[in-house]
Parts: sequence; C-alpha cells; structure tokens
Amino acid sequence: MVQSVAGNAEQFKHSFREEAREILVELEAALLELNGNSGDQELVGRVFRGLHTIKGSGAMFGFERLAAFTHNLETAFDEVRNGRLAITAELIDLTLSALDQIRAMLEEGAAGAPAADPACCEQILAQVRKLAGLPAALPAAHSPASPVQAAAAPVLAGPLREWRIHFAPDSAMLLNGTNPLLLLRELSQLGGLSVKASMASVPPLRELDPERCYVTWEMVLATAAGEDALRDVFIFVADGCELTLEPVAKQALPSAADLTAAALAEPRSAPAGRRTTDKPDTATSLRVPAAKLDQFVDLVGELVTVQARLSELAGRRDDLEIAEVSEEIERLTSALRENSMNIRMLPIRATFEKFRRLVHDLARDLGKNVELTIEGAETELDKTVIEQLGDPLMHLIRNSMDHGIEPPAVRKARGKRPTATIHLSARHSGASVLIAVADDGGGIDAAAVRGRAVEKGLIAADAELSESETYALLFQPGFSTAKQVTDVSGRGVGMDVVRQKVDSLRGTIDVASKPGAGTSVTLRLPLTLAIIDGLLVSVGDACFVLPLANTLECVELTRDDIARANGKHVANVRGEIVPYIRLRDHFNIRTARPDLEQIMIVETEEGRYGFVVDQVLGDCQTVIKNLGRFYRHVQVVSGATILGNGTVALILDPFRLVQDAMRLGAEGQRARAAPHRGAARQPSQPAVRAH
Amino acid sequence: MEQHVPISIEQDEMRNSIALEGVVDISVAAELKQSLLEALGTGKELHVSLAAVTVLDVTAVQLLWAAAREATAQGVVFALDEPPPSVLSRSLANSGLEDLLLPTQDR
Repeated sequence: MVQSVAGNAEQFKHSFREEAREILVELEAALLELNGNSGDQELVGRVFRGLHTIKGSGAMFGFERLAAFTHNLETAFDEVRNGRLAITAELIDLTLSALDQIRAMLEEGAAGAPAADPACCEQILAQVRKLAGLPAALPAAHSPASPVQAAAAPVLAGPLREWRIHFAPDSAMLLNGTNPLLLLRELSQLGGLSVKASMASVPPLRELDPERCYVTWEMVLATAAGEDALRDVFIFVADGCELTLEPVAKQALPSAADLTAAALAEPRSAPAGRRTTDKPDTATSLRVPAAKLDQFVDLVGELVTVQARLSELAGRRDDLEIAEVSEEIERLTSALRENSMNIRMLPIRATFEKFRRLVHDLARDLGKNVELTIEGAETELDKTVIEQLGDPLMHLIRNSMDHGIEPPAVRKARGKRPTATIHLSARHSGASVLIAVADDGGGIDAAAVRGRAVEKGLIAADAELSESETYALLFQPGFSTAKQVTDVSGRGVGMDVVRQKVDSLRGTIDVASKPGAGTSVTLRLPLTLAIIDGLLVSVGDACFVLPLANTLECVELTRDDIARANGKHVANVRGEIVPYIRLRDHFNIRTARPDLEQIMIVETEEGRYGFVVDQVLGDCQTVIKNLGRFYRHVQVVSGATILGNGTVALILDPFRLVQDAMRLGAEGQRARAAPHRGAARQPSQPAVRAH
Repeated sequence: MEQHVPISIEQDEMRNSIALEGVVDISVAAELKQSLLEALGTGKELHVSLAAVTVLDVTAVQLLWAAAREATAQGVVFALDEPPPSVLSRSLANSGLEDLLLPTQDR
C-alpha cells in the first residue's frame, strides 16, 4: 500500500499543479481587476479563496514551502477582507510578484523551469508583513501533517446561511493520498458544522477493500461563505466524488440533527446537475490530455480521407447499395468531423486575460497610464491556433505600448485622455477569426518608417511605396523605428516574429493607422488548421482544392467571352466585372485549354476574384497536410491533401493567390516603366494591407 | 523500509484482544482487516483497545464498524475496552464518526 500511495502521489501532484496553474491565472485576473476597483469585496474574497486553496492543497500534496509562503499572503488578504488593510498599488504589485514565485515553486523540478528565488520570496514577505502591520515573522503556517489547521478564521463576509451538504468521496480517493477527514476539517473552518457519517455502503468485512472509502457524509454548515468557497474546499477531489450543496430554507429551520437524520433517510441519488466541480458551469466537463485529443482528430482526419475514397469508389460503380452505404458514411463522417473540430475549439479568453498583467507591468515600467479593454473573449477558435497566438499578440501589445502610446504629458498636450486604451478584440468572420490590437496612441509615422527603411537599406531612397507597402516594412526583419532601444521593444525582432507566426498560421495582417488617433493591427486567422471544406477542381492533369468558405459561385468561361474581353483577364458576371486569374498560366501547366472553362468566383479582401479552371469535380472534406519545411516559402498553397484515388492535390489560398498575382502584375508594370530600377529591393510580400 | 505495525493481538480461552496504537491508517488497513477476520473466525469475544491510538483514519473506522456489525450478526460480543482517548474522540466527532464506535460497546 505504501508503494501504491507513493506511486499515486506523483500523479496527484501533477493534477494539483494543473489546478493551481488555473487558480494562479484567476488570481492574477482578480488582482488586476482589484487595481482599479479596490473596494470590491467579492474580488477580495476571490483572491483570498484562491490563495487559501493553493495553500491548503499545496500542503496536502507535499508543497510545504509553497504552502508556507502562500499562507503569509493569505493572512495579508484576510486583513484586507476584515477592513484592516487597504488595497494599494504596492500590495497588488507585491502580490503579483509573489504569484510569480508561487508559480516557480510549483514548477520546481520541471526541466527548464526557473527556480523560485528564496531571497526574493523573503523580501516580498517582509514587505507584505510591513504593509499589513504584521509581526516580522509570522508563525510557521503549519506542519505537513495538518495542512488545514492554520486556515483562516471563519469567513464573515456576508449573512449566515445554512447549507446541507452531501459528500460521497470517490472510493479510490484514499489511494490518491487524500484524506476526506481533512476536507471536513477545512469545511468546519468556514463556520459551524454538524457532521453525520453514514456507513450504509460499507460491505461485509470479508468483501471490504481496506483501502477504499465507503463512508459518506451528510453535513449541515452554517456559514457566511458563498457556494464557491464551499466548493473550493472540494476542488481537488471533485472528480469522481458525489457532492451536493443545497441552501437550507431560512424559515422554519429544523434542528441540525433533524436535518442530518432526514438527509440520511433520503435516497442516495443526487439531484441532477448538482455533481461537484469547482465551477457550476463546468458541472459535466472532464479534463482530457491535449495529446489524446490530437490523436482523436488525426484519426478523424484519416477517416475523412478514407471516406473520400469510398465516395469516389461508389461513384464509379453503378451499385445502389454501395452508394447508399457510402452516403450514410459520408453523413456520419461529416458530423464526426464537425464534432471533433468543436471539441478543439476554445474561447480565447485565457489568452486575452493573460495580457492584463503584461499591460499592467509595462505601463508601470514605461511610466504610462494604459487601460486594457477586451471584447469578444468568448470567441472560440482551434486550440492549436490559440496556442500560437500568444507570442504575436504579446509583440503587438508591447509595440503599441512602447511606440504607439504617448507618455501622459504628451497626451495631455494633444488634448487626449491621459489614460490610454489598448483594445483587444476577437470576432468571427466566415471561416476566419479577426483578432485586433488597437490603441489610441500617436499612430504610425509613415515618413519615419520610410526614412528608417532607406537607412536600413531595405528600400531604395527613391522607391515609390504605397501606404500598404510602407506599413509592410514594419514587419521586415530587423526593422525598428524606436529611436532608442528599450527593454520593452525596439530591438526590431518583435514585428518580424509576428509576421512569421501569422504566416505559419495561414493568416494575414491588416494595419490601419491614423496619425494622432491610433493604430489598429488586425490578424485574420483561419478557425482551424486541420480540416476544411473544399471544392475540388482540375486544371490539365493537376487537381487543386479551393476552400469552400471563400467560394461564392461558379460560372462558365467560353472562348467567345475571352474574345469579347479584348485580352483582359476579366469576366462579366451578371453585369459585374470580375477580374480572374488563370491557374493554368499561374502554375505553368502546359496542357491544351478546353473550349469551355469554369471560373470559380471567390470573395477575397481585394474584392471578388475569379480562378479559371478546366473542371469543377465536386466538393470534398479535406484534411490539410503540411507541405513540409522544403516548401514553406510557397505562400499561395496552404497545404496539400490526399484524394480518394491516392493522388495529391494542393490546397490553394485564394487571398495569397490574388496578392501574388497583383504583385506579379505590379512588378511587371514597374519593370516596363523603369527597367533600370529592377535592382532596388522591394519588400518581399508580407500579407499586409492598409486601409 | 520495515514499518512498525501498530496492531497487537492477544488470545485467551474467552476472548481475542486487539490493541491498536499510534497511527492506524490506510497503510495498515490490510493488516487490520486480516486481524479482525481472524479474530472473528474464532467465534470468541472480540475486544478492541484504542487507548494508545493517536490517529484513526476512515479506513480503520470502517473496518472496526464492519467487524462490529459482523460480530453482532454472529451473536458475538464486540467491545471497545475503554473509551478512546479524548483527542481521538474529538477528531472522530468532527468527522461525524464518533457514534459509529461507541454503541458497539453494548454489543
């Protein structure tokens, strides 16, 4: 038994780490919110409870140093809660740096993790104690054996309420090293607790597994703490246990003994939807390792490919029965694909919220007043996209804070609010998501950008650049307009990284800027990177996939139409002139042109464009396979897919294709207009567009 | 590592006496179960002493309770020789477990 407890201990520590990381994020958010809202008791309570949970569970799972350190902070916030200590910017900054140390202690032992700095911890504690007017050394929080004994005094924030609590631990809970009695003790510290254990589920001695827990508890707790605080006590045992919390009606309160007796007599079934978790809205959610999910999506991807082959096979055979089965499988695969994609969708909230801390710290370091506003945090996108968004957003925000936003004095002189705003927003737009970082700073100085680019040799001194091309320079490697290199940005690496990252996500960057009024950078990213709905088209022997989401319609292109256009690549679609790109020409496919071609009309940011193909073969669900490092510079192709017959089709990126064609056209014109300037370096085409 | 097992058993013609001491928790639950089963198997009175126990965890409580139920069903006396030390009874009371042992004294 001793061994199995030890074996489980590591696993349990792991889940504690996971939970604690989440609590730390919440704590950080609450602290930053408190910064502008120091009177909010609910927020203070949240911070206190978060610290309390980290401390209590930390000690329970062998993180004694972490628990002892956190205990001091918790005591300080207890003082705040009791009105004996005021929330100040200093306290918040101290607590934030303390959270960093807690994080370090949490990850201690993990490869590459920065270790907590004992001197720094001591310094933080000394300052916290000084602020809180506490004795120089607080009594040691607790011995490892009794992690919750030193817990805070009963919560007295609100009116007393009675709760009826039913707790049936997961029978394997003891094997995880958790002692249910300690949970009860922690609960008793929230208020007056009467407990009744029930042995109804204990089997006969011979059949009893001595290491499992069969006891269940009925309790009545009179406390001022809210439901969240009660649930927090059970936060680390929530999985697998049965927990119901019901407020007892205030009127005609029967005695606790009656209540427990009644509760014991009740059938064991818990009311639906009351199973425990830390948050009510995740009542039926479960934690799944990301790797398992990736594997699942991979398998669905394979299935989609096989299904495509089956459909093709069924299409070639004139067999109704096979066709029927194939259609059924197609329907199911489509539903499965959508479901699996949905599972991967996460709200972008956590990524956004993380920047509150960055903005707070940077504003302090730069001596600027900046407020971060967030919009559309509930917007969902693929987890792989979310994971890779952190870096580019951080660079954009840093850049805004350092270069965009003026110091308060300058803002005042310009008649602006001294507190600047950075607005982070996310919204869906078709199969893309738009993520914008907007500031109300000074805007981009186009002349300075140009001057800097000339100085750096990125462009010729007399190069003619459009606004869009000028802004594109910002994302060139090694470019920085900051006159002095600061710690924050200005090393000229950031914006380049943004472009690379967004490119790798098959996204585009839009820059809009008004001198004096601010800059907004919008990233357009695909919702998912794994599977798309596409239209399969052929040109000669080659097959291509066009994303269905961007495709509007398909019209015919006859030789007569071509003749009427006088050699221009435009088509008349119900009176509207639509320029088109011949894929045959663009990809140098040397086969004979059929008499009747098809134009796929696609909506792009540059307006409607047509792509001329030989034939439209039909729609297909397509698993995107990366082309690999060797082809990473090929921008007009976003990936490849394996078709039902085993051949490979390239997946086209319509936006890039149009931009590529425009660039080639523009270069052609420039070359014709000024052939001697061909040597001047044009910025390689990042997908940047100005408004 | 050799662990000190805090369970000692004495037998005479009339009774089995099981004395527990120190920390009686999940790490010795299997041994405790075995001792109780063996003791009940003899059909003799079963006396348990908790006088030297400092910690009794939930596994120990449910084993003792199950043993008491079994003894009652067999018509065998199951008794706590003396009330548990006050520290222990307080901690049992805090967990709602105190009644589960006390009534067995009458059996």
